[in-house]
Amino acid sequence: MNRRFIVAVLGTLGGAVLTAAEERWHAVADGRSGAVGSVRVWSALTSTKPPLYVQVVPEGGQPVGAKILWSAVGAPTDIVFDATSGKSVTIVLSAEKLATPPQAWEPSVGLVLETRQRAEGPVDIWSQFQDVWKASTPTQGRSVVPHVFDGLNRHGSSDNFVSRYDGFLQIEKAGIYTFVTVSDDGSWLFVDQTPVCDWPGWHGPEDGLRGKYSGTIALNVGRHRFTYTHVQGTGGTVAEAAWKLPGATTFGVIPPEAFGLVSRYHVDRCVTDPDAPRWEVEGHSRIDNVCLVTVRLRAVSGAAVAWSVAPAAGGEALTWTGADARIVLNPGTWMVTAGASKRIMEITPVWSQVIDWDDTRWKAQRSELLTSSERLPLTTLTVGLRLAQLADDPELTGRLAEVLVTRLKEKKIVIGPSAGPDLGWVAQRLQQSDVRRYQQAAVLFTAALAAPGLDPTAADELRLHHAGLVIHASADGAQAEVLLAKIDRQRLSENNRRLLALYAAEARLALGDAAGCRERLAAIGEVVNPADAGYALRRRLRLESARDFISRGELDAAEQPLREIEWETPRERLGSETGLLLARIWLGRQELPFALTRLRFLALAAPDDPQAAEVLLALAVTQLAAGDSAGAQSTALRLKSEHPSSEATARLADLRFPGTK
Amino acid sequence: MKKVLFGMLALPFSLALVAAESDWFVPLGPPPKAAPKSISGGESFPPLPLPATPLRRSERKRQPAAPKLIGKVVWGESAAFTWEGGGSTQIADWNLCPSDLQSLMSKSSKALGANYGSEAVNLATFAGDPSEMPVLFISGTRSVRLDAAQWAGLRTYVQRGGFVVFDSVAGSPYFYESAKKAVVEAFGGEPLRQIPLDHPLYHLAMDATKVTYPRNAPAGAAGQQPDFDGLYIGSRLGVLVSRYGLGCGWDDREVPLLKQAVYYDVDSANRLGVNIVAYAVGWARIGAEEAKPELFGAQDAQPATDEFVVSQVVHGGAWNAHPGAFAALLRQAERDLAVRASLKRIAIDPTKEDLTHLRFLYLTGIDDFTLGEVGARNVRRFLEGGGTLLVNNSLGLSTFDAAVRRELKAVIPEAELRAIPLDHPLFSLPNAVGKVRYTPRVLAAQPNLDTPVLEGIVVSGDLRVIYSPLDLEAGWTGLDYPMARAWMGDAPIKLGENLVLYVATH
Repeated sequence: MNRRFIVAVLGTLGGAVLTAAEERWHAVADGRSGAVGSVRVWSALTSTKPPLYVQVVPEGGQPVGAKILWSAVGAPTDIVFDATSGKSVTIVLSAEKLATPPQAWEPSVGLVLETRQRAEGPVDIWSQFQDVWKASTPTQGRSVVPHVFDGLNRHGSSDNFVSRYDGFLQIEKAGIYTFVTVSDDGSWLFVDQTPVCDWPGWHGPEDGLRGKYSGTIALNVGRHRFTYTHVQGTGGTVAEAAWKLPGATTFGVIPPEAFGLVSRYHVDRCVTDPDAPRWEVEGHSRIDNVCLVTVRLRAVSGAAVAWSVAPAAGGEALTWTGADARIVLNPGTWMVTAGASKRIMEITPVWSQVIDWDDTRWKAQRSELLTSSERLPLTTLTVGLRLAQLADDPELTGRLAEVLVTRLKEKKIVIGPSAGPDLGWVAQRLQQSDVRRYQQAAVLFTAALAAPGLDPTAADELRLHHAGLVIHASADGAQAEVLLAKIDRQRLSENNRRLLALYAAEARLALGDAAGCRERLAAIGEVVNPADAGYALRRRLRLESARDFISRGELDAAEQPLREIEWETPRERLGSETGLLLARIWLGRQELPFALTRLRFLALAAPDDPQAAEVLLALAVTQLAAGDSAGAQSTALRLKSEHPSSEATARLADLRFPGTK
Repeated sequence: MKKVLFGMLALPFSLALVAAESDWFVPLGPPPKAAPKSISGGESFPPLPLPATPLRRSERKRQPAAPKLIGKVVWGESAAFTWEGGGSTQIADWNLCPSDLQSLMSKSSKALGANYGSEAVNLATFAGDPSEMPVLFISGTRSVRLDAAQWAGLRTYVQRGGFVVFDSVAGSPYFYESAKKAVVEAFGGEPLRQIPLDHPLYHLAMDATKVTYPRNAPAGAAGQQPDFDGLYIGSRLGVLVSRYGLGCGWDDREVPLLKQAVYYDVDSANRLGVNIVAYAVGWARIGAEEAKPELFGAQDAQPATDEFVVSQVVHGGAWNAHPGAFAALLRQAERDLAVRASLKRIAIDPTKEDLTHLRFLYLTGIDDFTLGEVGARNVRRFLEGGGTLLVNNSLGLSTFDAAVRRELKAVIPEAELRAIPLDHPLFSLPNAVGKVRYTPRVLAAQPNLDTPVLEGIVVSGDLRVIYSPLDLEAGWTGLDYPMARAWMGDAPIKLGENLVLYVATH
C-alpha cells in the first residue's frame, strides 16, 4: 500500500490534520445506468484548499473523462465522470498533478447547477445580469440536479443568490418548441446559446404561471445545449423552466429525462485510508437562523472505529466507539477523528430542507442534546439553549443550564476566548420569566466576567446586567454598587448609561437610602417635556393597555408599556401605579423575588403614596406566595396600623394565612 | 321610491311614531356595488405548478389580540330595503352604519398608537363589567328602545365606571331626544349637560372644537361647533349623547339618501371619534376608582375628638365631582397632622338648609351652577358666622370658573376674589408649599407658572372664601385626569393639609 502522509498545519483552524497527497477510493454504481456517473468522497485533502486532481479508472479499463464538480474545505468532494462502461471504478484523488493528466472532459448528459452569493447590481437586461454573475462571489456550490424546478437554494441561503443551470436537452422529436420561464426574481433561458425567453427584473412568480414569459425555437432531433440563469433578491425564490412540445397544448416542467440520466455511485472503501470517515447532515431544526443539525457519521468501510468530534478551534470532544452514530451539533467547523483518520468537517444546515422544523426530529435532537450535554462544547450548549428559548422549551433550558453550571463549578468545561459573551447571554436568559434561575444566572455572570479575552465594553455591559440582577432579585445594594463602580461609563452606549444611572439609584434604595435614590432618579432627567399635554394621555393609554393585558393573562405584553413609562420618567420607579402593575405581572409569572423587591422598595420609598395601602397588601400577598408567612403577617399588621380605613385593609380579610382559620 | 319590509319586531311600539320616524329608517350608504364578473381569458390551460419553497419557522411572538374597547349595542328592528333600481339591502336600527366602529378603531389605533377592537353586544347577555368592555355604543336614527331592565343594567354599568355613547348617526331628532329622555329617567332625573368646549373631551388627542357639517348645519356659531350632551359620574362623563351623526364620518362617507340628515364631515367626525376613544381609555381608571364606595375605618365608630366634618354643597350643577378625594386628603391629614376627622361627607343643599351651625363648607363642580337667591343668602350667613368656604374648580374649566365668580358675587356683592398672597400662612403652615407643578395643559398656557394659585375673599378680616381655579382635589386622589387643568405632585396634598389645619383652627 503506497501511503504517504504529510502534516498540514491549519493556521486558521488551529489544529493539525494528517493528509495524504494521494487517495484512492473504490466506488460502485447504485443501479441506474447513465452516460455520466457522479460520486461523493470525504477526502482528507480538502483539509486545506489545494487544487485537486482526479482520475477515474473503470475496473479493468483505462482512465475515463472525469471532473471535480465541487470541492471545498471541510466539505465532501463531488466528482462526475464518464460512466458509459457501467463498471465499478477506482478514483484517484491527488493534491499533486497526476503523472498522466486526464483529457479535458465535460458531462454530456444531466444538468449542473452552480449558485453564487449575489453581488449588487441591476438585472433588468441580460448584460446587466452577466455583470452581476461575474461579480458574484463566492461560489456556494455545484451539484447535479434533475431539472429546473427549485423553490430554494440548494447550496446556501435562499436569499440573495444567483444561479446557473447548465446541461443538454435530448430532443427526440423535431419541431417548434415553446419554452417558458417562471421565476422569482429574474431569469433568462437559452437553447444552443440562443435566447428563447426571459423575465428580467425583480418580481414574484404568479404572473408567469400561465406561460406569459415564453419563446419558441425550432429544434432538431439530438443534443442541444441548455442554459437557464436566475437571480434572487430576498423573499421567496422560484426557478422554473417549462416547455410545450410540438403539437401539444399545455405546458409542463421540463422533465429530468429530457436532460438524460446521471448514474449515482457510492464509495465502498478508501484504499489508502481504511478508517476514512464519511458524514451526512441528515436534517436540522432551525428557528430564526438558530440551528442544530443531526449528523450521521460512519467509516466508509463500515467497520467499528474509535470516534472523536471536537470543535476545530478547540474545546471538548465527543467520543465513542462504533461503526456509526448520529450526533447533534451546531453548524461550524469540526475536527473528526475516526481511528487513525482525521478530517475537517464543515457543518451547515441542510439548505435543501424544505421544512425547517419537524417535531419528531426535534424530539430526537433534544434527547441527544441532553444525553451528551455533559460532554458538549460550550458553543453547542449555547446554541441548544438559544434554540430551547425559541422553541419555548424552558425545561430544556433549565436542564442544560444546570449541566453548564455544574461543569463550570467542577471546571469541566473549556472556557475559550469567545466564551464570555456566550456565558453572559445564558446568564441573562436564566433571569427571564419562564426560567427564573437567578442563582445560576449569578454564577454564569461571574464566569462570563472571568472569561479570558473578554472585550472591556462587553465586560462593562455584563457588570451592568449583573448589578441589575442582584438589585432586583436579591436587593443586594452593596454588591450592586461594587459592580457598578467597576464600570467605565464612557464605554457604555447612551441607553446603558441611563440604565447605569437607574441601577445606581436603585442600589441606594436597596441599601435603605430612599432620599438618595429619589435624588439620583431626579438627576437622571425625564424624556418627557413637562408641557407636553398629550403625554398624560399616552401614559394612561399605556397603563390601561397594561391593565387590560394583565386581566387577560398577557403578561409579557403588559410589561412593555410599563417599562417604557419607567424608562421615560425614572421617578415612576418609586410610583405605585407602574410598580403595583409590574408586581402583579411578576407575581403572575412567579418571578417572586422581583415582585418582593419592588414592593419593598415602594413601601420604603413612598409611604405617603395614595396607593401605599395597596402596596402593603400586594407585599403581603407576594410574601405569602413566596412562603414567607411571618413576613406576610408582619406586613398585614403594618397595613392595619397605618391604613386602618383603606380598602386594602378591608380586602386583607380575604387573605388566608397558614395556621389561621 | 323604496320599500322597507320589516323583518323582526323586537319590541311593540306606537304605530303613529313609526310613521313619523320611518323616513329615517333607510340605508345610510349608497347601494352596494355589483361584484365584478370574473374575466375569462384566453389561457385555456391550467397554471404551471410552483416548486416547494422553504417553510421557515420564525419565533414571532404571538401578538395578543387587541382589547375590546367598544361594544355596539344591538337594539330595535331589522328590515329589507329595496332600492329603486332593484336589489335589496338588509338594514337594522342598531347598525345603519355597519363599519363605523371598525373604521374608528383603525383610525384611533394610528392616532393613539394603541390597538383596540370592537364587537356587537347584546344587552340580554352583557355582563355589564366595564373592565371587560369599557364603552357601549348605541347608534340609530329612530327612537331608541330598550326595556326597563336594559336601562337599569346600563345605569349600573355606568356607575361601575362604564361609558355609554349615543350617536344620532344621521342627526335624527327622534333618536337624540329619546336617548336624552331615557337617560335622564334611568339616572333618577339627573340632567344631561352640554359639554363645554374647553372640556378634555375636545382636546385629548387632537383639537376638535371647530367642526364642519356638510349639510343642514345648525344656525350661527353652533354650525361650527360640536354638540354633545353628557352625564357626569363624579368628574367623568358616564354618558355621552351626540346630537349629530358621527358614525358615517368614521367610515369616510356622507349620508346621501337622507336629505334632512345632520352629521359631521369625515375630518370632524374622526377628530371627535379619536377623542372619544382617547377619553374612554384615558379616563377609564378614574371611572373605576371613583366608582368605589368610600370606606370607613373602625375609628369612625368612635366619637372623634377633633372632628372635622366635610359638608359639601349640593347645587344645580355636577356638584359631586371627585367622590372620595376629600376622604383621601383627610386620611393623609390624619397621619400627618393627628387630626381626628370624620371621613363622612355631608351633602348639604343651601337652598333648603340652614348652614350657620357649620364650620366648613366645600363646593366643587365642573360646569354651570346656581345657588339661587336663598342659597346665596344662606352661604352669606354661614360666612358671616365665621365659616370657611372652600371652592374647587374640578377639571379647571372656564364654565365653572365663570359660575363661581358670578355666584360669589351674588353671595358677597361687595367683595371680589383676589389672589391669596404667597406669604399667607396657608402656604406655609404646617407644610411649606413653595414651587408647585401643574398639568401640561396649564403649562401650555402659562409655561412659567410654578407658584401656588389660590384666590380668596376676606370677610370680617378673615380669609373665609378660598377658591382654587385649577383642580386641587385631583391631586388628592393619586389619579391622573388627562387634559385637566390641575395641580400635580405632592403640593395638592400639602396644601390640602394646610387648608384642613387652617379651617380646624379658625
